[in-house]
Amino acid sequence: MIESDWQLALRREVLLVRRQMGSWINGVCFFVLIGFVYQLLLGSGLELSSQLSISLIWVLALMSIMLVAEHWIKPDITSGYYDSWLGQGRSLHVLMVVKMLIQWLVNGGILALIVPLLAFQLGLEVRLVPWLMLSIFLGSLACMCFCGFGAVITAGQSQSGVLLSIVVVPLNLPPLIFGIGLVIAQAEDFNHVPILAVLIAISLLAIALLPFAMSFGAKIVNE
Amino acid sequence: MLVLQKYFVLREEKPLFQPLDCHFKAGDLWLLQGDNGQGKTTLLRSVQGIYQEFSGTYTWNDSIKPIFIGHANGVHPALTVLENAQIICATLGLSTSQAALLQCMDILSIGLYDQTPANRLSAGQYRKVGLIPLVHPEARGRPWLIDEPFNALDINTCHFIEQLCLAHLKRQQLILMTSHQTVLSPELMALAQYIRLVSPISPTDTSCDSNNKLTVNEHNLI
Repeated sequence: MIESDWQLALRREVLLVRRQMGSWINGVCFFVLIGFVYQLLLGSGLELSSQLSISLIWVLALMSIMLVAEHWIKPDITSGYYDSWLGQGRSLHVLMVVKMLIQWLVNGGILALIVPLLAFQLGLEVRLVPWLMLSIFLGSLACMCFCGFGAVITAGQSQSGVLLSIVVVPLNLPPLIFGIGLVIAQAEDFNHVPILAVLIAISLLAIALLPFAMSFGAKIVNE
Repeated sequence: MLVLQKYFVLREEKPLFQPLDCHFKAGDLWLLQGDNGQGKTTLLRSVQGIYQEFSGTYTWNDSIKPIFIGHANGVHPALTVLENAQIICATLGLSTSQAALLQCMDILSIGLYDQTPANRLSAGQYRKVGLIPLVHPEARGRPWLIDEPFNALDINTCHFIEQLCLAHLKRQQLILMTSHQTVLSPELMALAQYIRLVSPISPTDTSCDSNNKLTVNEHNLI
């Protein structure tokens, strides 16, 4: 029986998440450690405003995603896996959609679960913590797609780190702004529904469109 | 099986070799020859539909997708040998029952390493993981496009791959192969036909030669 593109992509990405545990643990460690170091450097006398700690946690989450994005794409291109995939007339777009969704569920999910740890360290109000978790979980899908896109188009370069951040950081501003905005709206008792809707819309748009860009970019880089 | 007409591939909008007119028939073994960067790998990738920048036409008479074995052939360094075998064979549309794959790995003498991540293997073993589809029973009915199969392999495995190719030819299947290795087994040499890719700025012509020697300026077989 010949597996469909979706089944095969799913099977491969699940295997890769299991075997590449080092790569996403790397991102999670970065997230936690920098948060703790920041807390240490701050000392005890000073208290962070909730705005500052929310944006700090969000930026750390984004940076940890950027840190691991390279590992999603580069081995596939250097090992010529896309050759086998395209050579059998399979759709690279499907592979990219599945890759992003799996990475989001695992990576974004774990980042969101770790948020309380950092939030309590930085003294964020308890009632805001679930909202910060939600905003990071929802927003990280868009961040992953943008970072994945950056990883694809920089995969051919040897010094891809610099290029990746230049390409990816501006793209990530919308999810960042609305992700932080959602929690701040909660803190200040604004109406949060429109912000939540926009955040979800950005993520849905990203997962709908970016995989096309990624598969197109991967074809070019692969040649 | 496969017909090329006025066929050449382009890289950065420049042709890589002089146009080819060739007819590859079932049961043929064709060796692509040419200097480094002359387009051997690119030619294989483009008739497989991976590389799109070419001029002229290629026509497969059959709807069966050939099996393309590239340099690294999609072996992911983090996956174990067995997982790699499963993914690679599934991608090529071959069955992935564990028993069959373990048998393939035993044949290539990497069966002991089924749970070892590929990045812990030696270069030759790593290459063998990529060659697993060639020993897969279901690969017997499809044309093979193989890029540098002998790289990094020990001499026994090279002989074994040659035997595999011979058996494949006896089943009336097409093999297209690039190889820098000049010494093949006599049986295989007797069957091999050559295509020499020549740079477009070179005065000599690209030749398809069905005789067992290299000639230039002697054109097309069709």
